[in-house]
Amino acid sequence: MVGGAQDNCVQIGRLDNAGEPSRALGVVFGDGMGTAIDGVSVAKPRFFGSSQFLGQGVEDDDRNTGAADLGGFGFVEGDPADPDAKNVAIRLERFFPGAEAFPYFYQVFRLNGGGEPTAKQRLAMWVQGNGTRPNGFWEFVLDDRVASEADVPAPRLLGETDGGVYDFAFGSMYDGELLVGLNSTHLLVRDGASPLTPKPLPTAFADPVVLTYKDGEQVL
Amino acid sequence: MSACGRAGRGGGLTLENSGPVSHGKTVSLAVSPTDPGTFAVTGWPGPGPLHANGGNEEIWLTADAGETWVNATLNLRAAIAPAARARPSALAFVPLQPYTSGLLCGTTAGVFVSIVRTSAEGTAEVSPWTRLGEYDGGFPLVLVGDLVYNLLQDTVTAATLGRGAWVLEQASKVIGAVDRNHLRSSRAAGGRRAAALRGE
Repeated sequence: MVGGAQDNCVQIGRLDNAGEPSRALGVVFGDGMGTAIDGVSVAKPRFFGSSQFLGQGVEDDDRNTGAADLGGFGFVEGDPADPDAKNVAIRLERFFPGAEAFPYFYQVFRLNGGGEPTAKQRLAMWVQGNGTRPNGFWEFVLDDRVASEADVPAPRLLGETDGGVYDFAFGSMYDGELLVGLNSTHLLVRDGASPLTPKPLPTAFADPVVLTYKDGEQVL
Repeated sequence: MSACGRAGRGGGLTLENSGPVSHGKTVSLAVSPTDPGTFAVTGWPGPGPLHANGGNEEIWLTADAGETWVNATLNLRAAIAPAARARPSALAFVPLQPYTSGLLCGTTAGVFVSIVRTSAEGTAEVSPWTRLGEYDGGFPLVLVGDLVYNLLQDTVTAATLGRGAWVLEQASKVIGAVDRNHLRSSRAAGGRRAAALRGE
């Protein structure tokens, strides 16, 4: 299988259709942003996709209530053309209410890339804080039993951050707990059981565009 | 390409070319899958919000988890300057040997590679950048917005702006050849310098 994100959806298709025109299926509609795939830590491979703002707030597609796609964020388990494939939406507003939770148009999410196969898939993202939660990295643990939106468990806080995080890595071959975040001025590093520690960068990068909000939604 | 408007000094609207990723990430990070504490970072020049097209793009490398840094930009901007700004938009490490990796960078002119040598003491050295693939018939001269190295399959996947996704198989072998060419050219240059010192 091959999957990817482009400007009007996240798609996945087969590579082995020799002699047939390639055709991919859209699974997340809106502006396709991020993808990730995991064929190791769970029994069946899962393909994750996201649209802008991790699917929160305004989107240029419909609201996806009852629609066939995954909304703005979720995964497909197995071959999406197979009737037995599972489409699991991850409705982040259940856990992080308010569009301001995900302020960047391209909001990065990561699957853990380290450690031993555990039948527990670890999905992380950075979330902007508000009066009831801190800025920080949060983790969902999605085991083989997660087969629908209702099965998605509540996330847990991995570590607090002072400011925003624009890109990050989660887990490596030598350290499944490695967490490295990056913003325009600092690297944030958690190695093993150490706390998340900011390290100044030798240069300053640009900050991403952050939109204003009206009535709880981004003003595009 | 996209443009954004903002108020000029005279109250009018100034249009600035903000490049192809005005709604994309402004920074990119790569973590070595095998060498602890070895990370690379790059991004659009700052400080401040993304609205300008100025500044110099840089790539920085650390082999001690961010305590010290090496500027790994070297010849990258100059190598791409005849075509466009470099716009380094993605990074990935391809391990070759312990403490030796290929560092890949996605730019507006395809994928470039530098050989990185680190040590257990946290030192780091980088070689000049070389373009992966040929201009004629190989990888397209296009913005590469994402790079992923799969350690189990030894493949690099590159996502391009409008030219599809590309896969490099046997990535460590291909990039290892870049390393060997770099070593040969370094030794040849050393030989020429030695000859010059001898007055030959």
